[in-house]
Amino acid sequence: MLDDVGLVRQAQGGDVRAFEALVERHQRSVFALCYTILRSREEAEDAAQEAFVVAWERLPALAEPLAWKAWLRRIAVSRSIDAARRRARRHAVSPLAQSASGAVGAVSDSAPLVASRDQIERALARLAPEDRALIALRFYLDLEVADAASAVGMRVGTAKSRLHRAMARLRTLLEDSNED
Amino acid sequence: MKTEERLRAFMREVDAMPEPDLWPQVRGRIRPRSRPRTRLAWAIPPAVAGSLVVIALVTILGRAAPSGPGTSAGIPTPTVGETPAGTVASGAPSAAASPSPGAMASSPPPQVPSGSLVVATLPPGAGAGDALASGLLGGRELGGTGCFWVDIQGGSREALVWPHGFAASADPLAILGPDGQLLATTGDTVDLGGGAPAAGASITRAEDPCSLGRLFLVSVVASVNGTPVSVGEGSLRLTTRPAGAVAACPSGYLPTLTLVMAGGSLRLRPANGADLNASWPDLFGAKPGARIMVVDPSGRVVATQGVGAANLRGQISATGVAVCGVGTRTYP
Repeated sequence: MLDDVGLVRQAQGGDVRAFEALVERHQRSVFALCYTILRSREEAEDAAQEAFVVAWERLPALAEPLAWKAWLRRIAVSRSIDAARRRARRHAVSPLAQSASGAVGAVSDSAPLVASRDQIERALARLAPEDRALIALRFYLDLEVADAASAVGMRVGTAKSRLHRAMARLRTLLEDSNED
Repeated sequence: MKTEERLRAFMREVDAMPEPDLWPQVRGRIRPRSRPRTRLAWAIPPAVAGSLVVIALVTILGRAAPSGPGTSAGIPTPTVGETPAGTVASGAPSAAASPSPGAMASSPPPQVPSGSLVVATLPPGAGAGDALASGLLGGRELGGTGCFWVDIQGGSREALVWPHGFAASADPLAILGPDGQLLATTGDTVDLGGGAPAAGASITRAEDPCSLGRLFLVSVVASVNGTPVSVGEGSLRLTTRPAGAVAACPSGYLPTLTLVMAGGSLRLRPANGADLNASWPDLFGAKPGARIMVVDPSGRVVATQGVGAANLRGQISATGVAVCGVGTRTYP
């Protein structure tokens, strides 16, 4: 089985089957990233799908196949943030309503855990999409701040301070919800 | 629990969500990408980019008369196992760059995708038919053989038998022209000129390895993804000479010579006599199209397939003809 670099090179040459393998290999992490930013399974699937379509179109311009994963993450984050902004403009989706109905779903039956998950979903919903992206990159993909900053298209210093502020806000929101 | 720990627990839950199957949607939205074309030019001047049927017809008519084995009543018997023909028989090939966008001079074979496959091909000179098959190119590999088909709009799927000299690559699964150039990959939309076998003709396993039961005999790949291609049987490589190889170009004209595709390569045919191998000045090349054209380094058309040229200058010898001038123009 080819590694990512081999598959990327083949896909750059137009090999659709190689790209299919890349999609299958990375769809879970791309989807999770999109989901954390968008908090809607349907929208996250759309954004992840869009990210892969854009990746296919731009793949010939990717000079360094080793950078594929980081490059794909940037596309996914960018698409998700764009989608979140469009949604905010439309006011068509209520994240709180979604999270209350258990958007994550099918994971845990433990009441405390569900409560905790709902609290986090609600708290995340209060953050800007860029901040949610930074949190997902840092706590889901365990990226260093510099890599997370690169994925979101921010300077490292900006990302550090935004992440710090986002975590403080999240903490406050979670504490407030515990008191409710 | 600390906020960070709660976040990580939340992320684990997200990660445990059912994995989406994105590929079917992604596949439906991406366009197959054309590979970098070799040295052949794919752009055809608007004046000759007429209907595809005309392209197919003219290309066929511009060729040498069918003379290959297995031809009967215009419907040839396909063969299997042909590989791209070695096309330049003599001369001193030049490794110089292509003279103009699209022209193809004698040069090292272009790089092609890996894994050569044999495909069902027609005998030499056997391409015929004025039908057009348009649709999505499909294919699969069967133990060293590539079976290709076209899904024609409207639903029918027809196995393809290619012009003489065509082959395929395994990775990506693609059809290669007579110069080894990648013409089309599975998933591409193709327009193919050619025709069906004679009614009642039996179909062999070699002709139809995927057992589709219907054949289309391709004489020319007219276009791929909407881009005119017009590549059929025969190499577009010219035998070229290094500059200065002909000391003095004769001032008189050669007898009228007609550019023909014969024996898998471009030759010059006198009004009477056998076809001549030709060597061309440095940086000359051939362009595919409704009629193949030989062009000089500035892109000026020197000879057109099927059209007699009375203004060529050069030397005829036992090995063929060395063209060194056209009209008043000579080439060092």
